[in-house]
Amino acid sequence: MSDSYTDKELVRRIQRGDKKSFDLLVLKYQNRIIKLVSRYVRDQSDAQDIAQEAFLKAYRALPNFRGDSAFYTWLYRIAINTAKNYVVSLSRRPAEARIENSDGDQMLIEDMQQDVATPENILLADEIKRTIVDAMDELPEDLRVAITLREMDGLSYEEIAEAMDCPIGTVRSRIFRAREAIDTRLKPLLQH
Amino acid sequence: MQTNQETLSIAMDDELGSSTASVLGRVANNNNDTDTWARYHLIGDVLRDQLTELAPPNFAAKLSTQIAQEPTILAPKIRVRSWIRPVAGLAVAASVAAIVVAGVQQKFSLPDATPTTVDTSSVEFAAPKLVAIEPAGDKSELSPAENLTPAPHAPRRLNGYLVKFNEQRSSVGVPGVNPYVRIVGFETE
Repeated sequence: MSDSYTDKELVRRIQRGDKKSFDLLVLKYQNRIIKLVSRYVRDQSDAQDIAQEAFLKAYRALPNFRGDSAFYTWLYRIAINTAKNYVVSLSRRPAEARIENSDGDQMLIEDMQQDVATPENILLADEIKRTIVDAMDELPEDLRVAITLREMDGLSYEEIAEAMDCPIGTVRSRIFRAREAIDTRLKPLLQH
Repeated sequence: MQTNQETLSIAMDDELGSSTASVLGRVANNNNDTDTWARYHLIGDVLRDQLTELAPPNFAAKLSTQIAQEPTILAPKIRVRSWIRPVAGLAVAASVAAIVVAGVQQKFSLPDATPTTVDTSSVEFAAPKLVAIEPAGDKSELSPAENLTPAPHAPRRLNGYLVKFNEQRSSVGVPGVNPYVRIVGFETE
């Protein structure tokens, strides 16, 4: 993960007392952190709670964050440790809360109850993915290539300009237009 | 002319340079811009296949409420003055050197080399007396040590050695014997 200038700037603002800048970091990384934590806990609700706790811990530790590593690398470590601690605390729960399933594996009653329910936002996530993929397919080729090189390959504007043989200003415009076009399709899904 | 949304798009890609700070300030304090920021990042997450489960819509809002109850961070800027580091380094080096010198002196000093005070009040000083020295005619009056007779060839070799030694030492600027003593050699036939 590259050391993002934007992240550094947001961290600097938070360290000067601007709490709202932390919202931008949360919105930027929330899905990645939830996905990361989901490797350790299978329950989605637990994953969200752990992710929330990790962000809170990160906020509290931010005065000591000196920027020696990238913000995301630092946040990633906090999230992993929070998830591991959760797993350890889970293994220390009283035996009464455990039952055996048909395969003889132990599982928590609480986990079973939550596994039965189908979370609404898993369906929503699938719909969002489909919408974005469809919107990408409908983009003009120059916009699609530009946003692919940026988001999937992580190229800088300068590298994209070289690859597409066009000025940097054109790259800026193409990437923005691609996002705008996808966003137009995405926005209605998230307004509820 | 770039719109607010376009500058936001450029800022999130780390390509806005010095204007990033002001744009982020605007985004953080404008709900529409904050929502756009979230959606643009969501698009990136999906394209990078980093979306397995969508964070619930109230995830960030819930966290924001919790953060609002936390004490505000006011981390002071830590800046070491540019002149402090070399001066501090010099001070450390000087301290180490002083300790080493003291240690070496202590190690190599003689056990009875400590200066002692001697009471000289009872000592009488007398002016040196001039004594006429007579040529040593009678060898029998000499002390036993002076009465030692060197080997016949020894004085010649010793004289020659002393003169050469003194000349050699003087030529390199190092006094051989005493700098104020003139060494004269002589040979007896």
